Amino acid sequence: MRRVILPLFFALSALSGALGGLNAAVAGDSKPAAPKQEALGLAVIVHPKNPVKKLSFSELRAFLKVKQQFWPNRQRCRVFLPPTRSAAYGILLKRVYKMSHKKLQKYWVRQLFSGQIPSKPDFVSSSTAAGSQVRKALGALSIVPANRVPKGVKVLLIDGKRPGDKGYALVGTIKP
Amino acid sequence: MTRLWLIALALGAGFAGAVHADEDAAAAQGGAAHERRIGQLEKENRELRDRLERVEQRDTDDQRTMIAEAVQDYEEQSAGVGLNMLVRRNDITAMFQIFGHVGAVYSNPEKTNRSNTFFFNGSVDFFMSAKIGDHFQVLSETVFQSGVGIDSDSSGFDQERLWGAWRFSDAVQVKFGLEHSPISLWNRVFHHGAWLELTISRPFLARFEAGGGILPMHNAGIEITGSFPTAAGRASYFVVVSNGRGPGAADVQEFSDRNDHKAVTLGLALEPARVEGLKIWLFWRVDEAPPDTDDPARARPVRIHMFSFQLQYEGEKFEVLSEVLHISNDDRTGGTTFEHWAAYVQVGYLLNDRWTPFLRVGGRWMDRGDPYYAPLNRDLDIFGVVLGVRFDFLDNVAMKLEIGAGEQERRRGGSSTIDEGGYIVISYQLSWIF
Repeated sequence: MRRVILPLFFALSALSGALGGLNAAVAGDSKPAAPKQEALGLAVIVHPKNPVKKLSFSELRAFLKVKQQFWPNRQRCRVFLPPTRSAAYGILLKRVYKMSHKKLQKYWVRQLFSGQIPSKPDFVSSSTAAGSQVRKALGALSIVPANRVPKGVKVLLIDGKRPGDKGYALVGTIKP
Repeated sequence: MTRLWLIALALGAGFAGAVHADEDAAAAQGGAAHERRIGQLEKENRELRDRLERVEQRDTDDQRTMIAEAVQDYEEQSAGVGLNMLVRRNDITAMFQIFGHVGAVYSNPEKTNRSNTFFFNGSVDFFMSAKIGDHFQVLSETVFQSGVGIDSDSSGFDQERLWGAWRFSDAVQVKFGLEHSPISLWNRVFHHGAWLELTISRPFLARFEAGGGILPMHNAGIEITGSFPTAAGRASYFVVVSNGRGPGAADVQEFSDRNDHKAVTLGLALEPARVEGLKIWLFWRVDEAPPDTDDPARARPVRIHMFSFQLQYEGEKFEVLSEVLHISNDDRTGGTTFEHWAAYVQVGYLLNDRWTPFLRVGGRWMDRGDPYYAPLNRDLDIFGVVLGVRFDFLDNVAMKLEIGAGEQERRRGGSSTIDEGGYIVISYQLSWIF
């Protein structure tokens, strides 16, 4: 068995090293000067008649990953994600999903394929569209930049804090 | 008299001149008014034209904005893997996806009556999931696949999964129909979608009934599941009552059952709050396989207990899958209990969005001579290592290359003589989803 495992182990090491080098070559080793960055807070918006006023960060993550699919009043939660090219989506990937867009797409396929979720979250094209969807559906939940909260929606507290408060969880940095 | 005429003429001429002068002045005044009026009309005309242009421009901008937003909406909705075929009508949302894979293999030793190298047609997997209203969900998976027989290959359609589920809330979902068994994590996560699998080959314990496996991979029955938040993390439970195993290890009882002893599977899972991406399951299953009337060694039923520990970790870079399985077959014919073990650990490292090398170590350690597994040589030990790389060269197309090597027990030519030898399998697979 050693005759099999040892060569395979060395082959794995060599392969990892080769692919790591390739990766570095593709990514580029030179590091440009870091551009100035600004903080962007995200607001979690729901229908004004949704009885929920606050969520913990882990509850929010469960809703956004569609592990929790219902509100306490048994209304199905329908998630509307910000545009894929937006800063808000990038912050969600980093802070909530902790994976790349491509990996998240694969995650949705896995969840669908295993029957864990009936459908994946929808995307909206703008904060206005997010507001429109949230106002339409009682169980809707969406994420918008805190400085662009549309009218007629309710902003949820996350871990007891609102956007702009010190220690608010849903904050990221963007290039101005 | 003449003087009078002269005065009259002078007065006449003066009057006439005065009248002319008045007419000239009036004409001059009328012309200026007309000019002013024309100027005013021209100005109004210009203003109206400008307004019209602005209105037309605004409409065009609005239309452009609307079209751009519609296109962006469509693009956003289409953000997904493959065609992302989604249909919405009233309160029905249906999703369709098709998986496929083909490949090539070098195997030493070769399969019975086959050469060492061969190309193969994998499968086409037609998947559909639909939500009807807020609480009802249906799922269907139909696979067109090929199988290697002793003398000739065969192919055909199999309905792998078909169920309807009512989700009362997150805490209670009742599922009814044909589903993959939760006793194996691999089985539950990947089913038949080769593109979803990091590797080409399945672990020994997760092989299908017809592919040399030791587990029941399909359940026809009822499943009650649910999840809820706890202080330690998100917890889930499973209760499954289904048709049990058939008389032989390769029998799948999807359409009927040969005895009234239904299989019962109970499970618990936890996603610890402290470790994002980690999930742990424990499953226990009890079943009774009916006698095999053609086999004197199987004249009475076999009581089967299974216990499974499963772990999945999905981090930003690492992906880990691991299962440990224990099977206890209580053979009522011979009065012997056979204990079997199987396990694997698989680690994948995401170098970037394209390259993922992986390593898997696994095997099964069987009590030899178990009459339930022995007729198909599934009571023999096997241990191996799989090393490979997956390259997602397109978002929905992956190439995989892997080398598997290890040692396995073999029965020589149908005799009871067992020897141990090495094996090596080099596989290439092209898999996709759309």
